[in-house]
Amino acid sequence: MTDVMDQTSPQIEVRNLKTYFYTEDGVVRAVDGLSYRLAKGETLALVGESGCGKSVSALSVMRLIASPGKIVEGEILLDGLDLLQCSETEMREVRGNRISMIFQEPMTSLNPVFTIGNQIMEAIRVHQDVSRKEARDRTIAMIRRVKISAAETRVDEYPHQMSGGMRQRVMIAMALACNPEVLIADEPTTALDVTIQAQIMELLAELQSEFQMSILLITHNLGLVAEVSDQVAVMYASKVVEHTSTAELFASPLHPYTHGLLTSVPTLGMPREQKLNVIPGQVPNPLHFPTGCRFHPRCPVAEQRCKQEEPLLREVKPGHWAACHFIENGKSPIKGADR
Amino acid sequence: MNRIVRITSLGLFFTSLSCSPSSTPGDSPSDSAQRVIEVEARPDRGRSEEHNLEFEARWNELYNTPHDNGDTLVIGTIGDADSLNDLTSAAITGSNVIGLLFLSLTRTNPDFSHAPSLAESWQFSEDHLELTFHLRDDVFWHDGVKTTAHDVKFTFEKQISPNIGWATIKWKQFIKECVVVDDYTVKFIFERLYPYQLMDAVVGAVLPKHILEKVPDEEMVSTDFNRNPVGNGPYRFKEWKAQQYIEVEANENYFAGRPPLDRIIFKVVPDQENLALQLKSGEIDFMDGVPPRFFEELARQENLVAYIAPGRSYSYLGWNLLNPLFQSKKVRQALTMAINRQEIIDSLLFEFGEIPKGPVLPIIWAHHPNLPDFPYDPEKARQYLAEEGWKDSDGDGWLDKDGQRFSFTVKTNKGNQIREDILILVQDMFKEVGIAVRPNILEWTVFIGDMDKKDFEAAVAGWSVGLKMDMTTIWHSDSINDKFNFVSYSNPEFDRLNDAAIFEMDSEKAKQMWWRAQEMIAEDQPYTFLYSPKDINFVHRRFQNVQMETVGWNYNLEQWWVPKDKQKY
Amino acid sequence: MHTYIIRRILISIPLLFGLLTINFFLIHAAPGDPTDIFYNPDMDPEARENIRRIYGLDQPLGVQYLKYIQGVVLKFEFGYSIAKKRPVKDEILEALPNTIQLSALALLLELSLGIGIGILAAVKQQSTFDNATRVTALTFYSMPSFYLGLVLLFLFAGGVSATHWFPASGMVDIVRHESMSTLGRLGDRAIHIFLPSLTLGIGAAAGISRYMRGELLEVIRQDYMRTARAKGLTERVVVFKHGLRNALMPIITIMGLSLPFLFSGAVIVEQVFGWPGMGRVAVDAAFQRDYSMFLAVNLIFGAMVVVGNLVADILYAMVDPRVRLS
Ligand SMILES: Nc1ncnc2c1ncn2[C@@H]1O[C@H](COP(=O)(O)OP(=O)(O)OP(=O)(O)O)[C@@H](O)[C@H]1O
Ligand code: SF4
Ligand SMILES: [Mg+2]
Repeated sequence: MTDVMDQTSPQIEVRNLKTYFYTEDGVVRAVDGLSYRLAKGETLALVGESGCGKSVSALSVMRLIASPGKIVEGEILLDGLDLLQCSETEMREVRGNRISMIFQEPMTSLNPVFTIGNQIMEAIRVHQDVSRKEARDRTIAMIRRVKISAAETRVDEYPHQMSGGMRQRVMIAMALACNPEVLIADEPTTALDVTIQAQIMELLAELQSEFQMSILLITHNLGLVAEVSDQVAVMYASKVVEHTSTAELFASPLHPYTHGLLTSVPTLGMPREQKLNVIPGQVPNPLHFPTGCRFHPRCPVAEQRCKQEEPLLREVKPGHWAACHFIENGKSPIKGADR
Repeated sequence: MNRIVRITSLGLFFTSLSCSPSSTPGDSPSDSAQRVIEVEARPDRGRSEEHNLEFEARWNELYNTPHDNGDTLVIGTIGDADSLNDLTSAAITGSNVIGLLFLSLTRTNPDFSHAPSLAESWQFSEDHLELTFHLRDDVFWHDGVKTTAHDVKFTFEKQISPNIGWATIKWKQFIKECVVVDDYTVKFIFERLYPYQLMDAVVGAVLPKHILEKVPDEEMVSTDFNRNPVGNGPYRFKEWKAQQYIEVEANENYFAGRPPLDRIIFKVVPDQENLALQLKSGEIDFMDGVPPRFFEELARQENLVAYIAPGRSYSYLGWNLLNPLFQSKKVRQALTMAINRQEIIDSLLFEFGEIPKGPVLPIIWAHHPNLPDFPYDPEKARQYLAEEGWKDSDGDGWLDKDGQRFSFTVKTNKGNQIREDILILVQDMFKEVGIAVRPNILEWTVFIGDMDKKDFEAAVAGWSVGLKMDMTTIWHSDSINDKFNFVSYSNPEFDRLNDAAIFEMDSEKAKQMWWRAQEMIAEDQPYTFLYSPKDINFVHRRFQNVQMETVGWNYNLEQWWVPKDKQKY
Repeated sequence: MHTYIIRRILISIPLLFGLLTINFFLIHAAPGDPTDIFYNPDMDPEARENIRRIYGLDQPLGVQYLKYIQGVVLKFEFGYSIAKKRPVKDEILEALPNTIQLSALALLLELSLGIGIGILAAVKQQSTFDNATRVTALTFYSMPSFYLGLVLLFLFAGGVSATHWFPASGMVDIVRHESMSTLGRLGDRAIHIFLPSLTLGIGAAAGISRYMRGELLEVIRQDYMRTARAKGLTERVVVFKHGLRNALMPIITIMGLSLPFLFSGAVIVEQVFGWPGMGRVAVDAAFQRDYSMFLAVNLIFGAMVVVGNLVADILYAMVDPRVRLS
């Protein structure tokens, strides 16, 4: 199914990724057969309800899953290189260098006891053989690039001396310090207030074109998705259920789940902070996913088949992939889904 | 002069042989079987004013017998010294070191008689009120200055100064004056006649006038000399590190010749367990006052020799005679009979002790060998108590009289394990006869404060026995208030006897009086005399000519030596 | 920072002064007095009175207090020790460095062992090592130090001759030390201080190791650790640079608070191992009612608490940039 997803070779491609947590209560299938592709220079938005496995999938790409978690299956291809086959040493070469990540919580993602300069420089020096002085100069330049004024003095400040937005800029500076091919931004603006969110997203967009990088944007925020992403992958219960271009998705959501998400968002101009998760019914427990289609307990159009047979992610329309038994001829089983 | 030495191979005294290993100086146990030597109690001749030529000859022999010099003796001691100046020293370690650094006019023989030391000879005047000492003219202070009669006079004046606080000032109370006759002749003039004039005149180390005359009396307690003494004895001061050690080294210019050991070090180890361990492992060479519980283990060590000396102290259970409970003699006798003292000695002292029948121990010349005794007999104790009206009338197991139960508290001080254990033992023993006892263990200063205030019913404590025969401070009714008659023993007949005996010049008569006095105390039982512990000493077997005596383990310390091939340091 | 330290010290002066005053009246109110050490029938009450007069103990308490305070304030004199027959200052100057030496090494052991084991246990959480150290730590933590001291003495200082590796007491081999080479002397000192400092430090090390483990596990879960890993740092750099410094901050506080306990622990350890330090001076002073010595010792312990807290605060400020000393 995946080989037909895109014509151009993707920057990063995830195939059938499974990341499980072996907890005392049982196996948490946090990511369970996830697939998506992200093209060079493009932005892919990964959306889905809280707990559906977005962050775990992102950390899996970085191979930063710690015990009791384990990547049990799948491929993660970075420009054709399967990261899951890399040694830990090779992987360290990738992290922060070819793939960088910024996190949701700028307040806690920086180490409080080191200066921001120190933390950015560290990212440079671990991957590039440069002198202290040069690393510092580049750090200052980087700080300037993320539009922090008085970079020369700020470089020696500690995180607690900065606001949340500033810190997220520092995180970005740190992530981009080595000019990565891929940037994973895991809800980069959720913790920030609205005006700052906009500034940060603008900054990211600017830097994206400047650095020619691909961005995997994890978010709850459909407004943001509509504004900045090229492609969208919708996750439900540890899997992708729909994957297509942003315009197509908003124009004709085919999966009943996506439809549910969008109908709970009446206009594109909705407040950004509005969360998903307004579909009636329970978010499934990753310890015991429902049989068949995992969405069936909440699906308004579910039938007997849905309980027994799991739908595959398939190209239901050119350039449009979805996992539902009842999408036929590019039509959603839900009436009036196309707009 | 053959001396009986009982010898055992291992453990307690189960074999006993007679031989005379100490008949010649320089003789030390060489047979590996000889590991435990019992020190013989000598007849006490402390009142004697004559030389004991036998002991003196033996003493002098060492200096004419071939021996090797060298090696170091490490003495383990539980407490540090406080001062090495005899005028200000109060701790036992200090006096042991002072004994090596300084000379007194005389030296004590094993029978407590006096032997020449700084004084070569002495004689009393016709009226026995003047005592003249003839000093050696070849004794030098360690800084090279000669020791003379002026030093003796100076020392006496300092000893009696109220601004110095010399501990044994009382001993000089009847000496009117000390007169320098010439550089090597000095005379003590007494106020009155009494049996211990010689002993009182010589007590205390002679100190160097040329150094101490610059120190005002009030500053004597803190003068540098206390820590950097200059003596004239067989060893000279080398170094003192507080709480660590005091080191002395052989005095090459000692008048009797250089002592054999190069160095003697008093090592301070504040824990008895640790001391015993070091004795076993060889880190220290000598320890006195070894707790009986360590005896068996230490006696098993090939390289140690044990010396068991007769006790010079006793422990007692004192009854507060002001308390109505203890005012009947018969009750007190019953209380004594209720206590199994042999069991205390067997279980707590591991048999290293004896039951004293009175306050005068066998090592003292005035000791009464046949005092009335009240051996363990709970039956008879109960009977005596019943005769005094103490019966278990309500059948609850406890004795009572006039509706009052026979119960009292026994106090003792913390830190003496044996005493603390005794309280537990006697509690059970008294329970046997129906008497309820509550133990109360107090910190030392609190304990003696209570004793002084008579704030106790019964108390376990101990006395160590001095060299002079005098029962005043503990038993005389004059001593009830500010001295040591805690139990408030008051017996006019005893007082009269004691006062007369102290000044009785005729030894035989004095002895009769002291015997009678002891009989009174034994009969009255103001104390239950619990035990008199033996003194256990261990010394490394490489040391030769070790002669421990009742006068002290260090009787001839300056004469110990080690053969070249066995020297350790 | 200097002004901060000076201010803190100045603030503590009235505190210590108050401590001195309270102690002065407390020790004088306690039963007994310093001449009790001369308590025997051979000593005449007259001699005792002489001694009391020489040391001014016969004067009214208020006068004694004023004289004492005057000496302390004007001349920095702490009086004479009745039991040691020397100026209190001399005795303390001899003993204090020894205790500092012992405590410093114990602290070093406590920190290095505690932190080291704590880190390993945290990094290898739930491993055999972790479980083994948990049990061992609990054992040492709950073992009274005098008992541990005796056990160590017995095992390694002569009780068992096959493992007689260490001397049982003292700071040096008093017989041979003088004649040793410089290196030999150093070794001699090392083998003498080893058991006492181990005894003193190991209980606290056990505590620290558990704290350290807990803190590090807590820190390892922090977001910034993930950030550090995401940079491509090796696990060693992540744990030791980013984790350790954060995990150490609570340890510094614990350490500062534990300094006085280290000193009071020294009281027992010095007794067992015959270490000539302040602990023994303190015990003697209390039991002998050696007033001046007792007061000076308590003043020093009080100062230790002040210094311990100050040092902890300064260290804390050094590791945690969020804390400003002011
Ligand atoms: N260390 C872990 N141990 C056990 N389960 C875990 C662990 N980390 C994540 N999970 C589980 O994996 C699932 C996916 O979590 P994840 O954090 O990826 O969700 P998410 O989609 O990022 O949600 P959110 O939008 O709230 O960030 C959740 O059910 C979570 O409980
Ligand atoms: S497969 Fe069935 S349950 Fe699942 S989304 Fe489609 S219709 Fe709904
Ligand atoms: Mg998430």
